Amino acid sequence: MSTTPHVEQLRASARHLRSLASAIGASRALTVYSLASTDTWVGPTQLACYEALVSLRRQLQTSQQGLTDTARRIDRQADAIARQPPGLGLAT
Amino acid sequence: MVLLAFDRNRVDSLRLALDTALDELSGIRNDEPEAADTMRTLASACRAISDVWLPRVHDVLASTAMTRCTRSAPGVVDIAQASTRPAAPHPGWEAMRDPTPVYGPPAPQTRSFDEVLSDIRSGSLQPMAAPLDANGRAGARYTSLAFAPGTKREIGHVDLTPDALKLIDFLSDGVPVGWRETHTMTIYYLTDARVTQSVRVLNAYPRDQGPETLTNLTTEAVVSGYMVIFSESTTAEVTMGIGPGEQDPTASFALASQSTESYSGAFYPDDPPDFQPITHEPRFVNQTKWTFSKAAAPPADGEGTWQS
Repeated sequence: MSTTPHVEQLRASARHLRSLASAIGASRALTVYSLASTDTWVGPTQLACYEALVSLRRQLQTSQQGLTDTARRIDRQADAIARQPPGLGLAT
Repeated sequence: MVLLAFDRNRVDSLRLALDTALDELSGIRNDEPEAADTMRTLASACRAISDVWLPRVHDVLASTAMTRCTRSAPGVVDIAQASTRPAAPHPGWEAMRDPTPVYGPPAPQTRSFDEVLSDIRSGSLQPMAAPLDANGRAGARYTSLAFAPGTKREIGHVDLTPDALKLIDFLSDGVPVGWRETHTMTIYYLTDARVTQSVRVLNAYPRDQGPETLTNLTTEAVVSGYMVIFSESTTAEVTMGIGPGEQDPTASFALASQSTESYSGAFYPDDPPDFQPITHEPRFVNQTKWTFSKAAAPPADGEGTWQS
């Protein structure tokens, strides 16, 4: 079986993950916390909202980083397959 | 009541930003198996924004606290703005009752006077264990609790003086014999109060010194919580009018005056106190403010009775 379709499939998967990471990185959700600061409101609700949005930002950034790392790993995997001589499978 | 102060324009900007974030996050699609965790995170974020924070922001913007009656311009003295003024840190800000707590119970020191009373009635606030009573038996041991607050903040007070006593006080004006009695309940929040539990022996003792204390059994704890104090103040006076003939009946000279003050109360700690043997090393300690025992009458001057 040719490895080319599999390589292309892996590269497409990595592209999709990078695209998802970019969408998350460009989201207003990452910066909305700054509008929930004490410049906007003051009180227990403000504190809870601010902490929730900062926590949300942290989760999204962690996910974004995880997607980027996974995409890089998949790309390396695709490169390794592509470098193999035709007819050899990828050792797993 | 806990207030939320806010800048309406900036809260509206927050609403728009949350709307945008929700639209963006909910529009993201990805079927890659490797992205499953991320998609769950996005779904959770969307729920938090749409189900919790957008409704709360909408509630704030829908607040009519500053629009339901005519108010003077910011900066102009207006009694109608008095309750919101301390909460609004900037001119032009508005204030409303804060709907939080959202996550978990409020910090204990944020309870209002009414909330403390309500929580005491409902059992949410539990009093510290009462001191042991000697039940009047000579030679028996009993305990007392002495409170030395680190910081003491008054939550509020209420006048509990019966109307009959207020009438007597009123009628006493201008007559030779006067009687004034006031009853007050005050609630304080004590921060890091040092509570000393002393073991005493009920026997004959000088009134100004109190009963013998078994110092080797004394324990203490540091605790924060609500102190509820019922105080009674009584003043009896015999007066004489000043000067002969017609005069102001309230202008008089006190021939004799006797005042007594007493208190009772209970303490509702944030956490159960952990009493440890007292250290006898030299140290700085705060002054004792209240000392309670369970006796029907305080065993020493300046002490009160535990009421729970």
